[in-house]
Amino acid sequence: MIYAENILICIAVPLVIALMFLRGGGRKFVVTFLLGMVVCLLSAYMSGFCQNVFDLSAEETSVFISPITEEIMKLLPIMFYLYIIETKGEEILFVSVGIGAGFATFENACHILSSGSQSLYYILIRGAAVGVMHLVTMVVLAMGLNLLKDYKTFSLAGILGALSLAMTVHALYNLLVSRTGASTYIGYAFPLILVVIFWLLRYLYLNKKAEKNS
Amino acid sequence: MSFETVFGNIISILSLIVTVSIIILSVKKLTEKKNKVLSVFFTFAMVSYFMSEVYYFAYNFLIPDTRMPFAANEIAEASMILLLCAVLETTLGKERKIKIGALIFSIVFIGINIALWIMWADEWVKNILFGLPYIYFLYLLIKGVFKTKAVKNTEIIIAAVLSTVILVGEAVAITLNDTVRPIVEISCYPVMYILWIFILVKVIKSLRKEDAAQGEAIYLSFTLHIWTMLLMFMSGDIFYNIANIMYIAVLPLMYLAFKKELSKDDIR
Repeated sequence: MIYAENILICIAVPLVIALMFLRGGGRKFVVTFLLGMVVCLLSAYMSGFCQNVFDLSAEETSVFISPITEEIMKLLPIMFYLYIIETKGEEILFVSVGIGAGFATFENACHILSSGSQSLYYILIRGAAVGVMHLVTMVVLAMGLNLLKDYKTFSLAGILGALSLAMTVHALYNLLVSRTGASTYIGYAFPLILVVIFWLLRYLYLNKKAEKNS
Repeated sequence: MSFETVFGNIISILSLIVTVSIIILSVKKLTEKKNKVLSVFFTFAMVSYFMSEVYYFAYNFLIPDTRMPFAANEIAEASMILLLCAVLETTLGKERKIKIGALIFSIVFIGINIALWIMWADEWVKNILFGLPYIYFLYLLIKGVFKTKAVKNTEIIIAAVLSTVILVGEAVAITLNDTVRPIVEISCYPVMYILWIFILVKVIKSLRKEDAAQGEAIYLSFTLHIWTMLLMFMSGDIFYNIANIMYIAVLPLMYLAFKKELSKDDIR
């Protein structure tokens, strides 16, 4: 048993103080990072609640419930941000990446505290897989929302489409790593492969945009 | 792993290949200059379906021969339906007037289907929640079919009668004992397939028609899509896999209808 709220306070305090000395993009990133950590804690509450209500095991909750609650919780601050601020360019992506990074960091911190950090090999895999996966799902979400924004087609269907994609990527990762054997390794590699694909897509998209502008 | 699961996995792989091809083609359409809204929603819908199939395949492979509980692929499927609704909304244009008759029919028809799904699987929340997008989808389809006069009135009456016969047959089958039930269920299949072939013929005709009304091919191919989905949900064992193969055949038709619609310049 760990006290996640205490860990959150411990990590958040230096970051909140750092905010006093930061301006512009740096400040925005730290705020979204903090928001990501808070969202992680709230989604853990939600998943725990669903686990009790539906009488599920920890594994069942992780495979079937967590991807849904976590992705919905991560979407909410982005939607709030979009609602109050008129975003320009790739701002949605920057906000999403900050939330994803904060979420992944806090989840990793809690996991390491509860299950130990003796094995460097395991820690590296955990960092490169789970950490990257949360970033990837946020990138999926942000790219979807950006696309809808670019083509002026913001609608409930479009947002749900982007959200469901993020959920399915997350759920697929959780499903793959929940079993032993080859599927675990495929699961661990899955977020990294997606990062490469998204990076290439973004590179091509930015190149095309630059060509169009010139 | 049972034969049916292996067969189901093979169909899933086939479905993934077809979906990836359609996604690549529709992404190419996205880079063209016109009708981007339609392309965005259609591509998103296909990507949602792709992810749903990947999840389904992974689940069947890792945890074979178990009934999948409420999972992420259901959400991906529901979002695909909503995104296809967005395609239909775009095709319908500014016409936002509610057609009461179409709405009532959609609620009753999908409502009965939801009741049947609940009786079969005993999953209340899941079936009600994920049945709602189908109501809106069917409503938009009926509205579009009437608007474009894609189907004659007599054909609509025949289709409505046939689908009612199927629903009544399936509902009666649930109340019967184990010896009579399979007979009633199997006797529903020919009617389901006849209706499917009828819509398929209409789709092919509309795709080949040069002067088809705007959106006609889309409405008809999407009608075939929803009917195939309902057919899948009503089928068991080997019939489910047959319906799955039929579903794979419907996807390229949907793409062709979407492509035909894109070639027209007068929509947003």
